Amino acid sequence: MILRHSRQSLVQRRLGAAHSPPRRKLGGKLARTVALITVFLGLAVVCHSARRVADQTGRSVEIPERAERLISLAPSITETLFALGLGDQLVGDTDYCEYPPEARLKPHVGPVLNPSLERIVVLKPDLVLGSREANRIETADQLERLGIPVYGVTAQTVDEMLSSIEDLGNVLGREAEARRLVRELRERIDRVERRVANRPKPKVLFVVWYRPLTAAGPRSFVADVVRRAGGVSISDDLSGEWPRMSLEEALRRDPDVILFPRAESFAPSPEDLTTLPGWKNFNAVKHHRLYFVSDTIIRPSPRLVDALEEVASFLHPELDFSGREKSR
Amino acid sequence: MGQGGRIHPSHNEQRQGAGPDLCVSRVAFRHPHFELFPVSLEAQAGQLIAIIGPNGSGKSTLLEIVSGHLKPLGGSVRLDGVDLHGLPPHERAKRVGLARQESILLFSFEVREFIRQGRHPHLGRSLFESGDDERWVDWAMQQTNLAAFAGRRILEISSGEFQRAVLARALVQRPRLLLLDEPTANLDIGYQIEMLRLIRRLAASEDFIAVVVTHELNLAAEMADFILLLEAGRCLGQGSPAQVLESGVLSRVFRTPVAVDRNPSSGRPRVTWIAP
Amino acid sequence: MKIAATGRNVVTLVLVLAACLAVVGLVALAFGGAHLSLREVWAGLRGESSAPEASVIVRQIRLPRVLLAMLVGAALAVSGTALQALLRNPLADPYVLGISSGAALGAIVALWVGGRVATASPLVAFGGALATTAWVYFLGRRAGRLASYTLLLAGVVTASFLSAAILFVLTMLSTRDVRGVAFWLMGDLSVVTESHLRVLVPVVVAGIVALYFFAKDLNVLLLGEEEAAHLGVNVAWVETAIYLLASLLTGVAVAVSGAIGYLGLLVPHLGRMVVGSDHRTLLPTAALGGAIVLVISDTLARTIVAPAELPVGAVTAVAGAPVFIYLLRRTAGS
Repeated sequence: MILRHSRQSLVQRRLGAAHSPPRRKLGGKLARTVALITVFLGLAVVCHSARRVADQTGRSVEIPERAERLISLAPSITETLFALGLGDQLVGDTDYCEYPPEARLKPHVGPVLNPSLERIVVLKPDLVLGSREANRIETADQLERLGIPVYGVTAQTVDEMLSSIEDLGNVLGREAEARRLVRELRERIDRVERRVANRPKPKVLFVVWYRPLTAAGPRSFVADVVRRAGGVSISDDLSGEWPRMSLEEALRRDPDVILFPRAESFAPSPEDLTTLPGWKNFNAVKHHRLYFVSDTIIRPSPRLVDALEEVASFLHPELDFSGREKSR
Repeated sequence: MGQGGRIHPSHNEQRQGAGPDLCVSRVAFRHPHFELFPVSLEAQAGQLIAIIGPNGSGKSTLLEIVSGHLKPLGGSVRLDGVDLHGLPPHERAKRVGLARQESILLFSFEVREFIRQGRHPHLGRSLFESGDDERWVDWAMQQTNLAAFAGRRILEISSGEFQRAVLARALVQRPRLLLLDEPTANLDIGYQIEMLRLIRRLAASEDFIAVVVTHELNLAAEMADFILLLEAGRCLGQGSPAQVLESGVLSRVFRTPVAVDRNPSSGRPRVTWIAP
Repeated sequence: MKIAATGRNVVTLVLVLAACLAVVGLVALAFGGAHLSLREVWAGLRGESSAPEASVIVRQIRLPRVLLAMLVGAALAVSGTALQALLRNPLADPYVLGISSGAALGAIVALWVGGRVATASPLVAFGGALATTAWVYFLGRRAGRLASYTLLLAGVVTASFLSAAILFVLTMLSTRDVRGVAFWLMGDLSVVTESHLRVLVPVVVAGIVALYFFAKDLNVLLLGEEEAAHLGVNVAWVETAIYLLASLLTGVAVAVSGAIGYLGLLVPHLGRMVVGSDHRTLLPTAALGGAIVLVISDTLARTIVAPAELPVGAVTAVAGAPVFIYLLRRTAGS
């Protein structure tokens, strides 16, 4: 409604000009014609300064041509925007947006799931960016109702993440930066895949949570990253996003490597784990092949590739992936 | 209206022809485990009828049928010529008042509120009680000696006072037929006599028929104009107390030897237990 | 009886409480995630073009929400009052008959089956509420009519079963959907559209007014079903009507805002403490009192941890529990 309001006043001002009384008879007619043409041109400009596109989730969104003020509703989007050089246009993000460090200094609109609509409105955004995986559809609906366009992004595999970045770049006028970033990321991914191509593939268990034991489903980022890093996820045949597995079944599948996400919240140390019933029976635990991976492994942002390289180095310790510029 | 000494005009209009004001004609009923055989009964306004009998003899069932609430398997109940079972509930409630053991109340009312509920059938379309309604409530509370209790909570008064409140609520309905199931159950002897005297007096002055189910044989003997004796769903006899209260029948029916003589002060039958 | 039930008293009561509600509502408009000064709030409310953001915030975010809180609060409180009389049970509340569980299950199943039915959810939720109402009604009938005792049992059993079903479906949903639904399950007044309000206003107002016509009967019903019948109440028809109206009010409230607890249980009791048990004064008191309580609770929910929000059901529960204990001790002592 904010946008419509300002657009309406723009149009009204031009229409007002068209309806002002002419000063001289002949000059008056000319002035009127000129005014009318200006109105039509003005309208044309107004109409074309926004375009209606389908966002990454298939929703139809009206995007302003110049999106100067952006709000991000998910940490992954914040990261991507900074990586595309749009840090200055970001006028607001969530309480949980911590990377890069400048993101913490931006005005916060609240938590990811339940951001404050009022704070968003007060920041006067041209465009809000939300993630289908992280945000609620109700938030997007409500913002649309208030006249604030919401562009939804989505990605569930590494390839989808890369095309999502490219698409964002196109939508926000950063095509060149996006192409460059994606190319760089692709090169790093290809390098990893080439190096692990002919190596034996260790069996990998990614433990999302240990009580109850929850693994990563086949369509998650984790499965994709593990595959590209030259491993085989033992939970690939299970259905669902985060399938549960019994400890006995996991022991039976005998993973070579066990991965945990490194989270700031409570996470058990390897010593704690070995004291849990059954866990010390894992070969992976006995051979000390228990690793903590950055939690960016489940986040569709450029640092996912860092996680990929990290996982590759865990899975294939004999190979050397270090000495590379990490995007830190 | 007022202090209760006049015949209510509309009651006179309701009389359709001569004959008994209350005519219970061969009503019968069947429960899964109990049967009430056809019973008949007649009464005039101003009379107090007592229904007596051992536990399980069908007294409460008969009362329920006479109230018009329970539909009998056969027979009819006519009050002033009108079939009670054919009336819609609110019309019946204008004519028939029932006072008996109540459901457990979990909500607190004031005593006056409780009694005022009896005016419900007379409110009709209006949402609130009128001045007349309030005057009847005052009258009923006076008659039952509850005027001082008006603001007390219904859950805080004694069971005897509660029973008087239940009677008051039935009186406030201004019924033509007042039915009472064990109205003296929780009362001391003084209150027992006071209550039945009150009912007798009001039956005459307010021109209604009172039917009382009671276990108190002597109270029935003293106060009732007419007694009906039930046993196992059958009417064993009906008539004046002297006619119905006979030691042989009573001893058999109540399974304990009793003697019936005359109360010297009132001349009414008196039932006494014979010790073995 | 604290306030005698006369026509004049009822009108006075309604006017006083409505005035309080208006004041509370206006004050509530001054609170929210964004800090607006009182002058900005006033300008925003009047829609002045000098403060377009304030206008959007006050008129499009806060005002619908405050109105929704009023409607839902009134609906749940009145429904609770009616059900406590119908079931003759002071512990009855709108959820004891399983209606909210039915609505929740409807919304969650729709989410599971259809993927994403955010806008259609209220309809499906209401459908779930209606289905549960009908089911419990038929289960709770005895000898062809409603018996409060069996109705209560049928409702409690159905609610338990539905809760188990809800938990089962929750395990089938993706994490994101579960998080979204969790808000609704705990009571969420943030999703309110104009179409919601357009439906709610007439339904809630009509439902409450219709129940008021049964106020006399509700009084008599408190004495007992038999006693009510002997006092001339057509018990079968009256009980059915009250049951349906209370279910309708609960169903629409829950469909839009999820399950907000304690209101329907406590507001009637608080109302009785102030005006007594006569429903001719109690029903309006419960309606307006429930509206006031929920507006205050929702304002707290919006501001205590701003910019984040607490689910309003959590606020009513945290505030409601001590009130409940206080009421228990009061009645135990008296």
